[in-house]
Amino acid sequence: MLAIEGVSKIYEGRNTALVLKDVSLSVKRGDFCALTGASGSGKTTLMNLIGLLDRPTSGVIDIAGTNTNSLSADAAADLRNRMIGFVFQSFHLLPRHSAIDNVALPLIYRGIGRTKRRAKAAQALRQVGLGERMWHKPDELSGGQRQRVAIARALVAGPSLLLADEPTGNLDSQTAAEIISLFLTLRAELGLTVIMVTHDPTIAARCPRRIVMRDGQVFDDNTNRLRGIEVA
Amino acid sequence: MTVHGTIISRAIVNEAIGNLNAVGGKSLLAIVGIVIGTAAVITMLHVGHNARQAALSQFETLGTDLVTMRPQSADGWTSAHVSVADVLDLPKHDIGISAASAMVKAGGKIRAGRSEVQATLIAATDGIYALGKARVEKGRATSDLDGFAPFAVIGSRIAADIRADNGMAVTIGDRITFRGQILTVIGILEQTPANFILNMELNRSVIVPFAAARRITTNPAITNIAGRLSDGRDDVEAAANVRDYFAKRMASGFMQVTTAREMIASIQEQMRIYATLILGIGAVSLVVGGVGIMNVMLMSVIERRQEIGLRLAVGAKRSDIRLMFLCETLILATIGSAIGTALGYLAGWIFVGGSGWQFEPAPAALPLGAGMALIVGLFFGIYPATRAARLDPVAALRSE
Repeated sequence: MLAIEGVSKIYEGRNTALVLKDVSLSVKRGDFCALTGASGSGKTTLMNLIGLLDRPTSGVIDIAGTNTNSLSADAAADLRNRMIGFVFQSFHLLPRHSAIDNVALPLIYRGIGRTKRRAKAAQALRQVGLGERMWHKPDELSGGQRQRVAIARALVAGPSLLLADEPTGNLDSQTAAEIISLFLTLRAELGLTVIMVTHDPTIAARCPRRIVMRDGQVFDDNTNRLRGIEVA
Repeated sequence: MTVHGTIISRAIVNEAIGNLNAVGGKSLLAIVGIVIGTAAVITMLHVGHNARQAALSQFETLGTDLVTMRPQSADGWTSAHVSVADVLDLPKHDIGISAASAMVKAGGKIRAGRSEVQATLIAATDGIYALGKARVEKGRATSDLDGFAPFAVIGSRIAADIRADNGMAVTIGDRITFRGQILTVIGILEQTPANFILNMELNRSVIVPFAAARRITTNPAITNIAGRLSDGRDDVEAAANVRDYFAKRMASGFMQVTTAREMIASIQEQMRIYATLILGIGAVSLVVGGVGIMNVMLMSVIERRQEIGLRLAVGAKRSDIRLMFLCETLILATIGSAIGTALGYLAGWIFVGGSGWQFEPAPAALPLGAGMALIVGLFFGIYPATRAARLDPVAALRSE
């Protein structure tokens, strides 16, 4: 599904920073990875590279058999639209759009008509358990509900890779646990590959695979079950 | 792919309209500049067009085929003498003049009973009535056959003034005095429009037979000649012919010839200058209005960085982002232009109505209004839209 080969990322600037050093990683279809590490360890940079929001300085990122290095900006946008769903810490919902139109947003760029867009968005909202609130605006929803809308938006275009950057960072632990359960359910139902950046050890512990970053390198890659914690 | 692209574009345009609805008040502020600019240009355009129409329609009523001639002395001391026979012979020589009338003009006061009225006395040959489009209301017109007879035809305004002063109307056979000469009123003219081509206002004039000029002035030299262009003759060529004709027949001095068409051309030249002025004002207001819109759009790009980042993340191409912002600017400019054009029509209509002219919309107004919207929208929209499209999605998403 995802193969990262010797990826480095250098930020040129006043003080040049080597953020990723020769990272290699392989993620199989259906994997559920937590990406953890201290701030500045490069995990968000790695996510941005995987999400094609940024380009590596060297190395190869291969998504579903496509070498993304050679893609044009438009082709990368198209791949993002079809293959990758993003979930952010601060939800990034458009405040003037209702939940259903927020969810339908990615389909605009795929050239799908409004009626069909809304039908697909409604289906995605029902998948995340928000079928009743699809006409509410984001400010009429709770934090957990907003993140569910954002997850529905990530799902609506039918991606195979879900990238979540601290999806529970703005939520209380109860809601956070519900959101993680939702991710696990979706992965099981839709066969999604999920990569989730998190700081929270209890959240990371619920993930079947845990990748730990340190100083721009993969420090640990663990797929063992942790004792005493049940994985869904 | 093209069907695909059309659907995407239409959806993006819809989004742009929705975005503008959401920010309402600020968008209105953004278009104030272009509203005022367009309104100013459209108003000036209407006023200019109608002023021109009014001037030209005056020429139409006076006659676009009139020619006015003035003998000019060469040095300012000697008088340029033209014989009346030469003037009256003009039409016979087939040089482009079909009718001519010689005039001797003198200003002064005429007295009639207790009344004293300022008037221009015109000693003229018969053609004057037809050339000046003057009609006799009462009595008869003067004639060359009257010879030196002290007969006078008075203008309607003079008749009215005398009547107001004396308390009774002027009747045929009344006596009036001009420079000590007693003249007998033989006719009263109908109201006649002032003729600025022939430089005479018959309402305030007294016409006497040409030969009677000797009674009024010691030096009865011809001061003005009115003429009419022959049908289908080129006015410039005819004017040159007339100059030649008189050059051969005048002992000193020359003949200054001005045709109505030359006057029209000079008015049109002035209108062209005026149009250039409008264009200048238009360009300035375009820039001011455009910078206003660009400013608001740049602010909008900065405020909506997260949204742009998100759209890029969910698969928008950079061209999609550019199109969205360009549409927003274009729509704003179009709304501003439409309001400005409507205001300009209204203001032009009020101004033209106030001047007593018939309102006729300037044909250039509508295309210019629409054109301004397009130019402003495109020119000042491209920069903010490109800025938006060039945002780095990672930085944009992280911004607060």
